[in-house]
Amino acid sequence: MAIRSLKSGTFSRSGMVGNPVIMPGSYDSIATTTVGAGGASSVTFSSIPSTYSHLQVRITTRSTFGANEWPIFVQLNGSGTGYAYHDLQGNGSAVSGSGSSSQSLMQLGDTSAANGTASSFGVFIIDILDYADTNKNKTSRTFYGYELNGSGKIGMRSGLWANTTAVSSLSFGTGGNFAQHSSFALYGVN
Amino acid sequence: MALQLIEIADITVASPVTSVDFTSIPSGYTDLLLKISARSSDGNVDDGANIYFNNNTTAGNYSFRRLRGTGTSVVSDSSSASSRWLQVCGNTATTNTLGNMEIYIPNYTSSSNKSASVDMVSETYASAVGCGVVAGLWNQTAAITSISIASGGNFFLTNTTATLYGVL
Repeated sequence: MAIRSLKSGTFSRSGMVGNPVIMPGSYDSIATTTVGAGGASSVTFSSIPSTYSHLQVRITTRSTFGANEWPIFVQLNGSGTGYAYHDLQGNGSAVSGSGSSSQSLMQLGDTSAANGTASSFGVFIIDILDYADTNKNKTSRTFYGYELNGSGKIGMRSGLWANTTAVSSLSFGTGGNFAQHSSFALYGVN
Repeated sequence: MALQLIEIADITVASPVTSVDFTSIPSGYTDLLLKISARSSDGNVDDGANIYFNNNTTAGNYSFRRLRGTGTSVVSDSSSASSRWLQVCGNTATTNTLGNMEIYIPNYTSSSNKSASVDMVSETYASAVGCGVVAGLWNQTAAITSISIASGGNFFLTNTTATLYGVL
């Protein structure tokens, strides 16, 4: 079996014929949560290690709030102050941009909710760079979208927590509960 | 095999610089990914920045198409002669706030022209600032061996970071 050099990209012969090649990746799973029967009012990742360069969260979720769609949000380190966001979105026929500051939470975007097509979930990918850097306020970049076979939305959103504290916990919430089968995955990127 | 992300190089700006450069990029990966947290010395809330491949600074070799939210509206623009694809925080954004950007360059060693996608946000603690996506083209067929992120006419400030990954 050939081994590929991570620095040069070249291949060389392995002295360990038959053994799998183990590549030291830069993308690690830190924690995952799947919401069980009855839903969950919040999902929290706590005690996040400070040893990575960046964080990424991947979410598929649905809100039990009584509407077609409803926002989800995150609070960093349990803080209820100092958030702003800016949004770029399209709904299949129109685009819009918006923004707001002096928020008590970081709005991430909309997902499908209780009155939307059954069993349809929205998707979020959230990147927080340099989350442990105490020289920086924390800035997030989120892609999100949901499709309800007749309505839906796709968007991109920035988020700011005007605080330089290292991020050690992320608490996600929505109106109502997160529906059963919602899943949240936190990754560390070296 | 599962997707693998492998760090090639990591740069932290210790004092203001006009560009952040990755050189001698190995050819052994499928794609490249750049994660950038940046703030420039520009006197606005946000600022544009250039990307150059293989030290090629000929504007006519670069083009882009962009969709951008301003905080109050959406605009789309393009250029057939510009590498100014990128957006970072300027120096009047809220103190200690840096932009957050990702650049994905698929098939960077192919003998075709090189395409890239960019998603980027700059933030400030106010209502009007931008986030956006870019489709970019470098109309050259050489394998990419170096990438320069240049703050045209300004400086990238201290604590700007850039990490280059190879994707397998």
